[in-house]
Amino acid sequence: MMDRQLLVYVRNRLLGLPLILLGISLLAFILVRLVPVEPAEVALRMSNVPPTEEAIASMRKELGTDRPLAVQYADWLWKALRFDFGNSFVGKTPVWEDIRDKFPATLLLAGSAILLSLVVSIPLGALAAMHKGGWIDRLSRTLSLLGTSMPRYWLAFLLVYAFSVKLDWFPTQGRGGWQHLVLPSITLAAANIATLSRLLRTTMLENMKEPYVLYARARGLSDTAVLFRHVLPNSLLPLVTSVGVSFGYLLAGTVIVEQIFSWPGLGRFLIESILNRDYPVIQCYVLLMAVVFVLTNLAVDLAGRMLDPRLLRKEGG
Amino acid sequence: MNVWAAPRHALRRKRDVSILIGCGLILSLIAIAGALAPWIVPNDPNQVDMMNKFAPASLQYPLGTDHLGRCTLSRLLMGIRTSLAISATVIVSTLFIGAIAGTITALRGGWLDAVFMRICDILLAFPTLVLAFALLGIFGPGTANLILALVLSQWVYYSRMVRSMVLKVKVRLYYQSARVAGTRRWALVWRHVLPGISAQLLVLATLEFGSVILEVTGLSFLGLGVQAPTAEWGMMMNEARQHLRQHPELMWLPGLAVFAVVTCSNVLGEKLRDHFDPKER
Repeated sequence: MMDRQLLVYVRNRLLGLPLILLGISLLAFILVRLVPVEPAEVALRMSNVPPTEEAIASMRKELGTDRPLAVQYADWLWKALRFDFGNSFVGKTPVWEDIRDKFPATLLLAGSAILLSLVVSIPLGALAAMHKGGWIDRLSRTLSLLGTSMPRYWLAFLLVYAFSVKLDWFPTQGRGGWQHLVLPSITLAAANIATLSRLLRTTMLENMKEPYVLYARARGLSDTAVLFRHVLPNSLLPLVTSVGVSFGYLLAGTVIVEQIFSWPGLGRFLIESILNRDYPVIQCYVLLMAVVFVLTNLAVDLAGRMLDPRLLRKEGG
Repeated sequence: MNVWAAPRHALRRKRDVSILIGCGLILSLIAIAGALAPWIVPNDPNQVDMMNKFAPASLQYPLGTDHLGRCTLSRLLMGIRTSLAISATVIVSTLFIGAIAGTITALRGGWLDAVFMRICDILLAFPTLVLAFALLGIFGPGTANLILALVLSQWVYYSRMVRSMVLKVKVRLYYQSARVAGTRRWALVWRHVLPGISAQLLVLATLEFGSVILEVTGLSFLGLGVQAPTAEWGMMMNEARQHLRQHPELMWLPGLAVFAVVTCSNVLGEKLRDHFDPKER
């Protein structure tokens, strides 16, 4: 019975996916058409060709911007499906190759930030729930307020100032060994740790009011055993969902961190491209981020329903 | 271990009120300083003085000078205007659009609501920051474009929130009685729907104000928002970054200013939420 409900849910979500992806691609396509200046002209200026009437006309032909919009969209989408996003205006290299080469560095950074936020926020949240109102709860509350209110660029500065300039423990720039990963990951993870630890605390406190906790305590289990064997495992699901959703935001959040620490990832490439008005790169970045965001959200939703079938029943199948 | 004990409400309430007033006071003082900035700055914030680069604090420059010999205190004060005014514009505009779109779709329902929800689905498929980056890439960096990009990338989120708030009002007895009594549509919205959601809107605006400030200053820090030589906190951080090793003191104050304002508005938002909706906690 439960399995059938799950299958129906999976089927419905998967059927909705192409429509969302189509919508995303349409938006990514339209975005670049909103450009206040003519793309052909920008492409010419980037190549240091004077934008005369003839040059613009031939560039339009080359870029295909002289055809009707619908034809352009269909053509663009067809090429995009085969990872052909054209050449960047600046580097003249295929956009997808650039993005593909720089994506792993960004993934590494976001992944290590996720790992770090889990490692810190699970014990912090659990201890805060255990000692509700105690000093560790108050500490975690303060930390979480600081974490969400701290501008990333300022936190990065404080870390660099303390650990690189004063103590000289970690490098400030570039990519290399694990030492290069430490400060950027902390910077990126701070806000995440704040939200995740509070979320875990709230979920655990809610779970403590459930009948199964009363039963476990009635059986004579110690408070610690109840918390760690029953309440904590049951409270991890919202955490998993939240981590999945935050992954997309972290990928976007790497932009500032990469810029500060000169991390050779997508974020720095994006800023460079925005300042150079390199539209094909911006378009490809937006599309990639949205697709990754949608797919991780889908994966997390499905995983959540597999782990907790009650969610399906609440929605009525 | 005292997990199951009842919280001491009365004690907490009293402390909360003083925290609320304290944060409100700090924010108002900063806002007043920003409003009066052109008249109280000790020096012209954009006056370059290359003979006085990185000057220490003095009577003429109470907080010293930056890499171009400009007065740090004056720039900080003028920065309140830019940073906070831009953030306030963003949040007021998004809330305004969100309130209109959310109320109309929730009250109308039907195909309009269905179409709107599909548009939301697509727009919410983009992390808001990614959409803001994309729009800034398209329109080009600048203050006006920064505001436009943030409003365009966030209005959906607010519309959805308002929509669900209005849907909750719609099933309430007072709304339905007013409807049955034949109240006209505008009167329904003005006298029943908007008062019903205004407290929640206030909480939402206060809670989100902090993150909008972080976005505004963050994008300016990246060079995509407010442009030099205008004094803006994120921009000041960006300029100070170049001189981190020799003159780290330039990084302290702008960051601290952003941090203080964001902390205050976050605390204020949380306390307001607890006040209007005590069950959260």
